Parts: sequence; C-alpha cells; structure tokens
Amino acid sequence: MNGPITALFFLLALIAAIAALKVKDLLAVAVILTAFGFFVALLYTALGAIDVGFNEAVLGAGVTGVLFVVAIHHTQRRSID
Amino acid sequence: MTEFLQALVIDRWAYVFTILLLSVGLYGLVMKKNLIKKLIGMNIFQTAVILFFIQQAYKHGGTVPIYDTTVGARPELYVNPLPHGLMLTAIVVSVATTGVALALLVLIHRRYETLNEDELLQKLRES
Amino acid sequence: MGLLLVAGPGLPAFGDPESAAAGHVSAHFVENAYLDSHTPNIVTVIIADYRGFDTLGEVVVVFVAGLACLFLLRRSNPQQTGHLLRRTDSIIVDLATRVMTPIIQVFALYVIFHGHYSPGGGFQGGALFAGSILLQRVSQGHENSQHTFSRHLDTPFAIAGVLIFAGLGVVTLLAGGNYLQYDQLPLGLRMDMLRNLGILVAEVGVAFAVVGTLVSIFDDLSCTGRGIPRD
Repeated sequence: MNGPITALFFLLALIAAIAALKVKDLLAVAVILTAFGFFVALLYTALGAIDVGFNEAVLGAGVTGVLFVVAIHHTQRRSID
Repeated sequence: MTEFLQALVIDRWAYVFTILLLSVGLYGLVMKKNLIKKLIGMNIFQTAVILFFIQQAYKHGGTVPIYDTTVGARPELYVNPLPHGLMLTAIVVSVATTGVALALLVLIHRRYETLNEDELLQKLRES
Repeated sequence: MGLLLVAGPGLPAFGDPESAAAGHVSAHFVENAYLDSHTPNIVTVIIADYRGFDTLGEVVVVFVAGLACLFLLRRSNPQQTGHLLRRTDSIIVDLATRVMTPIIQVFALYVIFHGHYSPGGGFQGGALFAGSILLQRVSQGHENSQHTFSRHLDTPFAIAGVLIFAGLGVVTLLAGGNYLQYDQLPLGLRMDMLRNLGILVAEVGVAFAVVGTLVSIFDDLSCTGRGIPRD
C-alpha cells in the first residue's frame, strides 16, 4: 500500500486544479493544466493503471496543452476572472 | 457520526479527494465567466470522473494487470483491468471533444470578438 | 458536494479485493486473457478483443470529432489567412526538435507494436506519434513541417484507420465468424495466435485513426483566423 505517495499526488493535482481556475493569464493556465495532467498521470500509475497513466501522460500532459495554447493564440489571452 | 466519519475517512479517503476534485471542476464550470475557463473546469470534472473509475479498480495487494507467469491468472492478485480499458478510450475521446469545443470557441471569438459570457449575452441581445 | 460526501460510505471500501466491481466479468477476463489470446497485457486484450465493438465505436467518435473540427474551421486556402506558427528563431529549440522527433517516433512505433507485452497499444502509440508531429509543427513552423506530414494527409489517415478496424470485422464476418471474432481469421494458425494477430491489426487501425484525428484537429485550430495574438 503506497498510501502517502498517492495522497501526495492527490494534493498536488488538487492544488494544480485550483491554480488553473484562479490564474488570470490564460497561457499560464494552459501550462498549469498540463502540470495537472502530469500529476493525474502519476496518480493513475500509483493506483496500478499503467496503461491509463501512459495515455494521460501523452494526451493530458502533451496534446491538450498544445491545443489550448493554439486556441488561446487565436482568441484573447487575458481573462477577467 | 464517528462511525460515518470512520467509514468515510479511514476506508475511503481516496474518494474524498476525488469528490473535492469534482467540486473544483464543477465550480469552474458554473462560476467562471470566461468560456475557456469553463472548458478547463469541464476538463477537471472529466478527469475526476475517470479517476473515480480507476479508484474503483484498485485492490490492496494487487499488481498491474499484465499477466505474469510466476503469479498465474489469479484475479485477486491483479488490479481490476476492466475499468482501465474503459477509461483508456474515454481519455482519447475527451481530448477529441476538447478539440471540438476549442474550435467552437475560436468561431465564437471570430464572430463576437469576446469570450466573456456577460458581454456575449449582451451582444446576442443587441443583434 | 455534501450530498456526495454523504453518499460516500455507500461505496465499496478503497482497495477492497472483494468489491462488486471486481466480480464476475473482470475475474473472467483476468483468468482467460492469456489463454485466449497469448497476450500478457490484459488491458490490451479487453480493449481490442473482448470489447472490440466498444473500441470501434470510440474510434468512430474520435474520427467524427475530427471531422467536426474540419467542417467548422478548415479553410481551403490557409495561405491567405496568415500564419500564426512560423519557424522558431531559437537554435536550441530547433536542434532539440531535430534530435527528439525521430526518437519519439521510433518509441511510438515500439509502443504500438509492443502493446501486447508492456503498457501501450494503439491509443498511446498513436497519441505519441501525433505528439511528435505536433512538436515539429510548433517548432519548425507550419510550412516547413509539411514535407514530413502534409496537412492533406491527416484526414485520409484517420479514414484509413477506421477502415482497417472495420474491415477486420468484415473479414472475420466473411470467414464465417461473428463481427470482430478474430479466431475465425482465414490464416491457418492456432486460435490464440490468430486472436493475437487480430489484436495487433486492430491496434494499428486505432493508431492510424488517432494520429490522423489529433493532427487534423491541431491543423484546423492553427490554420484559421488572424495571425497576431492580442492581449
């Protein structure tokens, strides 16, 4: 049972999620979202789901961030909340 | 009450984290005005749901679901592989739907020059 | 949230080997996956074989999402709309990309074809391959990366992937089995080896579809609208 490690990853993912909703600069938000995806991928791996962790590490921490950055480039970068 | 707390915190502490993550996602989805922030809230919500399935699959003393000839095919020694298969495809679909949502946002911004919900509703009312 | 917390103790305890979700079907999968298809990675067997219909549906959903992006955003002539993504000026980024891209692509192919024995498979490998192409698109600029993977090639890739997967089902149907029943493939091998082979072909189809769709979504998003980001 790797309880403390799992709890640590949970905390990191939670902090990253809250930060992604609080920061006002949307490009920074895209980067924080990839960090969130990476922590969640670590969490999946800690829970024994290596295939899902691999997938999340590639897609959640890689491709999603790129898509968000491109979309933000085409719209506006500042957010009021 | 102590029984309730014991059942929740000692045996099911991982679910509490997932519920918190779910609440964060729902907060972003409902309270944020910017549409991209709403989309990020939706992403967090999706991740929390996937996480819930993965936690259901976890077993104490279970190893990763790759067949090991020294262990043999004993189900109680492997983590439940069925939710993994389901969630693997769900992640890919969630990324593809995020792409569609971003395409819609780009179109909205091209037409109305804003992504703020209030300004958007005002412009819709004027036109 | 309070409601969810109240409902919490109704769930099976975290990490309980006797929980209801670990019951009949998953136990059956774990016990029979290696015997049926000679494939150690149980998740791969479930995705491509036991739940092949489900995966075919998911691949079609991903493909339709790519098509939706295409119809929403794609311009027939992107040169006129101005490009956001130019070639990078930084020599470090340029060199790092040149070194990394082939390594990532080889690793992606390894992940696809070694998905039977280690974590991996069509979804992960396809996403990795798409990631390497996206890396090139971002760093080398949209124009310069066309010769490695043209933007006219991505939707045909996705179509080819879906057709490989669906066509495999048709082949098994013609050979006298059910749809996606791999052990009826007319190749004259042992049944578990036939299923092994069927899983491999299905994974390759999935990988094609994922690569095509992800690159297509990226191209549609990046080749649209005005060029300059505004604050």
